[in-house]
Amino acid sequence: MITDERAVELIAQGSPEGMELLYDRYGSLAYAVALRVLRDASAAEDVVQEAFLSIWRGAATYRPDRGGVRSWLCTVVRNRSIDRTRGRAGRSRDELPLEHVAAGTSSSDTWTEVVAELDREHIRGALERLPAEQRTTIELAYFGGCSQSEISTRMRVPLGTVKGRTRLALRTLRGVLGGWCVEQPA
Amino acid sequence: MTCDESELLLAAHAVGGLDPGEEGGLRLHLEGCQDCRQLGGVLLHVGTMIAGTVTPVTPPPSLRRNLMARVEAEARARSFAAVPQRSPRWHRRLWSRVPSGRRFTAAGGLAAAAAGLLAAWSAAGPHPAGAVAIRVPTCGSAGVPATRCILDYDPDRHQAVLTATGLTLPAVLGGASAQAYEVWLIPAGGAPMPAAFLAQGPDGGSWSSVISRSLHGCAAIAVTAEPAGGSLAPTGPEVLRVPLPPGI
Repeated sequence: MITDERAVELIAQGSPEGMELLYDRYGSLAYAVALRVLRDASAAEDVVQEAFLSIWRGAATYRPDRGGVRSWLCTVVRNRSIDRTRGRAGRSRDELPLEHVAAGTSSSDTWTEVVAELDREHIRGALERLPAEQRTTIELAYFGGCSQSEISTRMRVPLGTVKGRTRLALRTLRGVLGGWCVEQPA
Repeated sequence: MTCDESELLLAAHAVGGLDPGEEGGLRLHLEGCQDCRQLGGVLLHVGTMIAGTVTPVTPPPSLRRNLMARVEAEARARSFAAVPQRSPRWHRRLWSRVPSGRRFTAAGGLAAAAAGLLAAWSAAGPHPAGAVAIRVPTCGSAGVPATRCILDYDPDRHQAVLTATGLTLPAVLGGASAQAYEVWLIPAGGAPMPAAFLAQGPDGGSWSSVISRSLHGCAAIAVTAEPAGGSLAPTGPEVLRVPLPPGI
């Protein structure tokens, strides 16, 4: 089986087959993420196409130490979708994290992929179990593209409350990973 | 900033909700705090996994088709561009020295006559290996007069790259994803044959296509706006026509 990282290497070498492989593997997920943010099928199609094309053109910049291909792709799609909802053209927000934060995971073999899939299942379950106000806070930020100040206004709660809810939610989600990613070598 | 305050901001950053005004302070703190850098990486990892919890939705087949058409067109354009262009044959270089925009001078007339004779001599025999690429610049068309295009053709490789600017598909047709620019080969006295699609370049202003077949016997190349996925015969407005030199 060709790993995601190998597919990105093929893309960086200019191979359309690598692109085909990546799209067949994650096209449905990318489309779902765009649809979730944009709520418009036509706009979601445009964004997913743009996102995959940006990966096609910039695969050489992919850094495995920043996280898996799936997360990278989802982040690109999510950020471009948010930019689209705000009427911003091009890449106006960081598609990479703050440069000072350490890498969360660096492994890329099949076993790690399996573990990551289990983690996603755990996080999905944990998200559903979060108190409603914490879940709404996370969803407004992640899928709604709202800053904490905007969430504070929208939910009519103090900014400090929004920050506290976000931290609590992230602590819970982190807890379901059982510290696995903390112990990975950077 | 304390580590406790830093954690609040790192959590916000992990889900994309950090207020822009708070980024500077967080960066400063992270520069001097290894623990928070480590925590930031972990939270970011958790944050990116949130997108992966969405239930996949099958996209329309046109998305894959359009995406791969553009990817393949760009891949071919890259490989074509990587082929070093040979210098023009000497009779073409001679022809290029004819003064342009002025009346033929005696020297220009002689050069033209020599070029014509040599071209006829060259056409009488088979093309040698590595024949020169042919460049056909064109401007204007009935549908979109502002269009400019260049066709580069290598008769030995049977490969052509058509690059156009000034096309206004979204503005004209109201949606890039609903329509596509289809490229047609027009044989002398024959019906148009579908050849390729134009793909929009990264700059957004240029469109290009690779045509991997011989243009021998073709009188022109045309581009029409068609429904996404293309048509078997032209149905939309013609936006570009490139007349080909005889004997190409």
